Amino acid sequence: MNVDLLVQAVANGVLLAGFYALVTLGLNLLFGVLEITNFAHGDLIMMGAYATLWLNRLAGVDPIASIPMVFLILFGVGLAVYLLFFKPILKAPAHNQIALTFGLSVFLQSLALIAWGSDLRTLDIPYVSKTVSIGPVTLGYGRLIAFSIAAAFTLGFFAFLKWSKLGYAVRAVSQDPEAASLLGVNVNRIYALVSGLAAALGGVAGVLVAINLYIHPYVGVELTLKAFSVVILGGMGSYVGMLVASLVLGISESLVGALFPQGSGLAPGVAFAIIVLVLALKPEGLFRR
Amino acid sequence: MAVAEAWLEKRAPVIWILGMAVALLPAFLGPYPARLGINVLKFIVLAISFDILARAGQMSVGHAAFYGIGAYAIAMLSVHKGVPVELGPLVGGLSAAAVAVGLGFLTLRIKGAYFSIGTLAFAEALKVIFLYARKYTFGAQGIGIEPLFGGNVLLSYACILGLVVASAAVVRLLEVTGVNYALAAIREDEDAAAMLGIDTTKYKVLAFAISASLAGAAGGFDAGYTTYVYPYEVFSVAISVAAMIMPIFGGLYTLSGPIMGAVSVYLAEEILRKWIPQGYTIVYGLVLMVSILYLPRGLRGLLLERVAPALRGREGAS
Repeated sequence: MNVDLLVQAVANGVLLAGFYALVTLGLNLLFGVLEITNFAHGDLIMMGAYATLWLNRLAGVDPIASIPMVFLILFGVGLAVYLLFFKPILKAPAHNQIALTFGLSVFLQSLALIAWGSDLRTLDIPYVSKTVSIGPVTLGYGRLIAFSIAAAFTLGFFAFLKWSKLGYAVRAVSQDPEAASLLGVNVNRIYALVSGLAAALGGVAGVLVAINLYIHPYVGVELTLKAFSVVILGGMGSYVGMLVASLVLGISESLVGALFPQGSGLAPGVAFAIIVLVLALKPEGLFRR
Repeated sequence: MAVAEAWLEKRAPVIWILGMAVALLPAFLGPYPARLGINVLKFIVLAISFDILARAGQMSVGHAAFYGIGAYAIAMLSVHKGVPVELGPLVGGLSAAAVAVGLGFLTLRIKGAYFSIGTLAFAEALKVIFLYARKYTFGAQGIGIEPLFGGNVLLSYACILGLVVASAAVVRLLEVTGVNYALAAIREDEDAAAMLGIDTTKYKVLAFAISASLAGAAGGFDAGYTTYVYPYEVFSVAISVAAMIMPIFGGLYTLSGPIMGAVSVYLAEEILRKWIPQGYTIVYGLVLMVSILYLPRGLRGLLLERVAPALRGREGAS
């Protein structure tokens, strides 16, 4: 085994892990506060990717410049989803919540299929395919950009949660909605904010999908499963667990891709393997909330 | 609702005979109605299969896994070992049940959303495995097999109708033997059920195995009926979604609910498929969300609670 190749694979894996952390962040946030497992989270990311594509094709907006717009669009989508679907089922049994968000996922996929067809689409951005070499490691601009944006939004979100007054309120509601309500927090408004924020963070992940991957109506299903593998390994609702599990997923996918022949085809199987193994051996995940 | 149910209960044999006659009718109306009828009957089996698992409080989001195992079991045995395709439902049912029993013991501790995520991942993982085990499955190319009963539509029709009757009989058996009550107790509160002395392990694995065997039998039938098994088709999200939506829309935890759901959703899909060939699945998403939000007991509940009393009211007035 060539050491340089190994180092290269690990470096790519770390960059990928940053992307997966942002993909998972919204799902984890929504579960942590509303206790809803959103099977449509990846489809919100898919919507973000198509929004980026549209802004680029129709108005010539650079994907990185489109981030604020996509963030706002998906925030609006998240608010609408909260008012129409999440609010009525907040107290419903888990299986009803699962069925509803699964229905939303199918709905969004079909909508994308009707609007854009099943073709694979890409953004042609000249700077994405450039590379930079640091010692033995060569890194693509696209992945570096994705990692930086993902890291900025993930850390920014943690800062919001830890230091802002609103973030305080979000944490209070996630710990005990009734006590928070007695202390004067408008729980309904926090739920709405969190739903919007979860979708908006998914939207930013969608911009990164548009920069690095093919855009198609089913791209969300793959991402939902990857996000699930991260939260299941890390423990639902745990942010430390999310970061550790993203690294595990990113690096193992990258290694599988580099070490096995036809490895790039097997890499998606890593997420399924993680889900099945963790559920069978340690269903509560590595870190409990 | 109770009155309407009692009324129906009294006339159950008549309704069943009428229902069987209606179910048999399309077989004699020509190739298109026969094909439509066979597909509807196949989805009734899948819907009942999903419902049995749901009775134990477990929501399968990847039911295509068992359907696909059933389809591949007979396709591979037929191609590599020369097993007749007519054994498809049996082979498919048994192999899916065997997998479910093994999996059942692994997934026992998993509840709620975790179980659903597990089923979704399992179906996707199987798709990858069957795509890559090219030596046995021929990968993305799929497996072509001999037609069921030499392509005789009437015999195929009888076969799938027989499967529907068998599924209905299984559900009745669960109700008559009281297993149904144990499953309902587990669904409402598993810990409380265990404290009442219900062997939750036994009943959950039992429900899982029965549910999987019915889905596998439907897959084993479909392999021979369509003469072709292909990973993107048999493990598709579309099949998992259909298996989930039909019983939820029709009315969970009943026998007539999944049947009504399968008939109405499949026919709606067939019509819509002509209008929007791509994306007709939008009706799936809408129906599922509307059912959860506005039809807690499904179409069946709506008919029994709203429509039946209204009709009786008019009768009384005249």
